[in-house]
Amino acid sequence: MAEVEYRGVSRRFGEIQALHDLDLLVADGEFLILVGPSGCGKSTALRLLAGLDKPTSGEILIAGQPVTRLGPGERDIAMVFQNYALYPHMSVFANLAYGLRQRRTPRAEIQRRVRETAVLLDIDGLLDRKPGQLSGGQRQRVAMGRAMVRRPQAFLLDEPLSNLDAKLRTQVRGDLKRLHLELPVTSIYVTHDQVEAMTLGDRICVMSNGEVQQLGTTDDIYNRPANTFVAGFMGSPPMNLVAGEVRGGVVRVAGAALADFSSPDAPVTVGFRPEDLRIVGPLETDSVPVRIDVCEPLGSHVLVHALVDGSGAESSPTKVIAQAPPGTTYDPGARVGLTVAPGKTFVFDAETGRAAPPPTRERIATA
Amino acid sequence: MAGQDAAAFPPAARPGWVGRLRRSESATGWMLVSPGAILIGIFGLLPVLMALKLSFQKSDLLTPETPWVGTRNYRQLADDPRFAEAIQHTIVYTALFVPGTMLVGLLVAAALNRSVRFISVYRTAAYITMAVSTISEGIIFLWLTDKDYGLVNATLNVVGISSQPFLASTSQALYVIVAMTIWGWTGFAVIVYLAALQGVPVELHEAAAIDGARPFTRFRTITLPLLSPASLFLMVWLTINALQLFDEVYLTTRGGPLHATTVIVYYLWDQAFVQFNAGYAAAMAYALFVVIVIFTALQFWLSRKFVHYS
Repeated sequence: MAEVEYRGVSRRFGEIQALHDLDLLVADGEFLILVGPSGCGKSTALRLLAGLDKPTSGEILIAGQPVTRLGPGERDIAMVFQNYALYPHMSVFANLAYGLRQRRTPRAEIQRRVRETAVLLDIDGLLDRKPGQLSGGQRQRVAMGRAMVRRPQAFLLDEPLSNLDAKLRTQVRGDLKRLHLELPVTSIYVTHDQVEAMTLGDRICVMSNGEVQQLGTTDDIYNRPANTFVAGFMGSPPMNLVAGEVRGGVVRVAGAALADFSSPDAPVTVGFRPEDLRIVGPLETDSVPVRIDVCEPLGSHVLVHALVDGSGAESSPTKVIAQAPPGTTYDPGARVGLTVAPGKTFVFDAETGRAAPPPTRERIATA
Repeated sequence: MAGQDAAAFPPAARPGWVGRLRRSESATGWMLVSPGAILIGIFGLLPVLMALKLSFQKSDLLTPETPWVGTRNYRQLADDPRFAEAIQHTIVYTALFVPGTMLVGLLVAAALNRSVRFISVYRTAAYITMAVSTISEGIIFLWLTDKDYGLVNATLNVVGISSQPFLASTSQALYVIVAMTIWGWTGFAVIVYLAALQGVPVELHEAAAIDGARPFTRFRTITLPLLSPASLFLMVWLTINALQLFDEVYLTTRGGPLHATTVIVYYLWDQAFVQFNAGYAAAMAYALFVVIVIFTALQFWLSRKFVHYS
């Protein structure tokens, strides 16, 4: 187990800056998530740490030792690949034992550690099988086992659940969390799935365009997003972002006053999460006037898609999503109002997208 | 519901045999393959069967009398010292040519399995030996190994080795033919291995590298086993070709000097078309056929131990 550190790490592929000046310290035993859309640099960051790629500039340290110039086999890390990368011609036992054999571990020790790991992951009945004879979930566990059996300083996981079906993914996600609690090895986990990010990580590092957008706990990321990218990426469905303005110390969207906000008058981007919205009558004071688009019943709740009246061009009005109690139905085109729960209005700079300094007390929305 | 369906689709009238034939999938299939099948039958299967008949006859290919001689041709094979010699040459040739071509092909393919500038030029260059006709190949090697004017001897002389007779030597000629055919077949082996190499997922190498395996260990423990289907294919294909070696021998040494390069098929040709013992040659062809079938079956049986299909 060890601390992992990126110091000013950049990686350029020709004209493309895949990773820009990454500074990141992962604490000993921490479970850190790198999350972002495709091409955001998260996998590049992981491959640089694994030694499968070399940074253009910067230094990577594991347990305080610079490893930038070491090969992948000399860094004492283990990686779980998206497609598992199990050796197809070897039995499960040989797959698990491969790394130990390369390190000249005594035969009895290999036997003991492979069995121990197999029991822990409940794959001890599969040791004689070839990967081709395993189900997706079993392969995933063998890939985990191959990483764990070596007891590395750090685990690198590259979207390890993305090849599993939805049901299995939820189950394995729980297993992963439990495993990390039992065996708190420093883990860096790459995913584009924000549910995985929020449930698994001690901390989440949200990336975009090769840069860190925000680094923090699930609570930080969800309740204090640093910018419109993080706000619009995290959450399911993500935060609604609507053009608005600050005028006379009040945040307004489509004329509706949503919250007090002590800053100079300026156009802003206003954010509110679907679950913080309430659907009210169209004439309710200080509600955002919207037209219903569609309703999506999901059993536990209904997602109401609506279009903000008078926002943007008539051809492309801003879309918002509100979460409503089960049973809610509206006809498409119906006019209603939306109010935001107190303290749940987020204000971002209209130009930079950066979160405005913490807003003040809310004025409205208790209707 | 069921009643409605039955009413909507009344049972169709039973079609006549023309209608049945027109609807039959197998009849359509036979019609589609018949042009090829007939040609193969006339020019492939028929001669094979005629040769089988011939192997039990005495024939000089010129006179119409072809008396039936039973198994005499086959018994004669067992006592023919020149046939035994030809078998020996063929075995030596095959034992050197097949692994030689596979090894050279694998090394060249491994060298070409990377993305560098002009890689397609190099790959084409490696394959181009396959585009060279056997006649050109023979002439090139005759020139290269010429005792007085050949480039090989000139090079040897430069480094202080005296000129070698090569194709004119009973002890060297067969090995020169081995080298020549390896050169000629390398392009084929390269293409097969290159295609197989590109099918080895790069993540497996990365996983093995992280597991601590060095490049040669990765090649030995990951790449080679995953190339085994390609290796089996090449082994079978090249062995069948090696056992049937003829063109290169005919073009360069004519089986000589002193029968040193007389391989089975060259001896067969010599018996059929020089000595006019066509029945005897046909028996030889069938003996060779049986050997090839046995070899191939043996290779497939052995392959269960080392071939991994993913």
